[in-house]
Amino acid sequence: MGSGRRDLLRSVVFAAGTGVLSGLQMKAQEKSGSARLFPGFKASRVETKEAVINVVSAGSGPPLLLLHGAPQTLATWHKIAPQLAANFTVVAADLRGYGDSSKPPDGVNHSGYSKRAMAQDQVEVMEHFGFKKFAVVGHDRGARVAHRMALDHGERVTKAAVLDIVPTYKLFQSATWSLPAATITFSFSRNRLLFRRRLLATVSNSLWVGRNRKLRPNIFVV
Amino acid sequence: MKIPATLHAMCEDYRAAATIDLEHDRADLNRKIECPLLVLWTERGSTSPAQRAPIRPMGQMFDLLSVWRERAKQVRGKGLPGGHALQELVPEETLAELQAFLRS
Repeated sequence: MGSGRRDLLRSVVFAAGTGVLSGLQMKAQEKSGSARLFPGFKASRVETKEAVINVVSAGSGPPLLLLHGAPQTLATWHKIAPQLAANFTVVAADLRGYGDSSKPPDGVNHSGYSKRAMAQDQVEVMEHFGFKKFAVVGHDRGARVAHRMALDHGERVTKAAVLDIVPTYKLFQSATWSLPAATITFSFSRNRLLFRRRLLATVSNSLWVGRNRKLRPNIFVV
Repeated sequence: MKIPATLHAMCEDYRAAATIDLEHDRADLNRKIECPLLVLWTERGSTSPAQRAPIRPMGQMFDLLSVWRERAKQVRGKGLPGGHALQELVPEETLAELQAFLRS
């Protein structure tokens, strides 16, 4: 291999580490990442009425659904899912629109990405695994889905945990635009490029976390 | 990962939160979550190098237990050190709180 080619390869590897991945490279990373991040878990895809949901599952005991936030995927649970699987039947899912789940149409007034629609997907996922009742843990966007699920499907949700959010209604009610949370939400609407760069960096960070523990995901509060 | 499609979907998720989710939440303001609810939040924040401005921890912006007691009947919770992604940044503490809650 010539030095020019080696340099090229090195720059590609560097680019991967800093978040500039092509779709193909990202796909390869993703596959190896999931296998490495969730040893012993079974990967599957569940068809719901409106989406195809990507999940990993393992363990035995009472059923427990894990819902990630943005801009993450089910990979966010990799440090605690194996331990939880010792006591629970853990199902970690990508929300619709995220990770390897399908991206349904926007719908009228963004109904395609309402927390109601997202919760409905996940209820159907648990039904697919034979669970009519289950506990749910959600982080960030996933916690908003868990909140909506506990209201819309109260008969199914035995316990709910929400990680680092206030209810959506409360958040917008208290949104003086100086709130850092609000600033972050709306900054990406104005600046898609910045958001895209951060998204890429975060995704690649979570895929590389097993190799380089200095890398941490970026943070989105809302 | 199909980045353009995912990016669009994620933006739709946030747009939904500012529109239709608020309508749904407004319609349910007189209802509360019936099941036990555990709330974990960041008490002390950490700043990601990629983040230009530090983020105030959730626990310093809101009284989380009071806020959630408006929306759920049985609420317990705790602030933890670390950043927003508690499950990644303080996994041991997060796991311990989840295990205690889920087993109770």
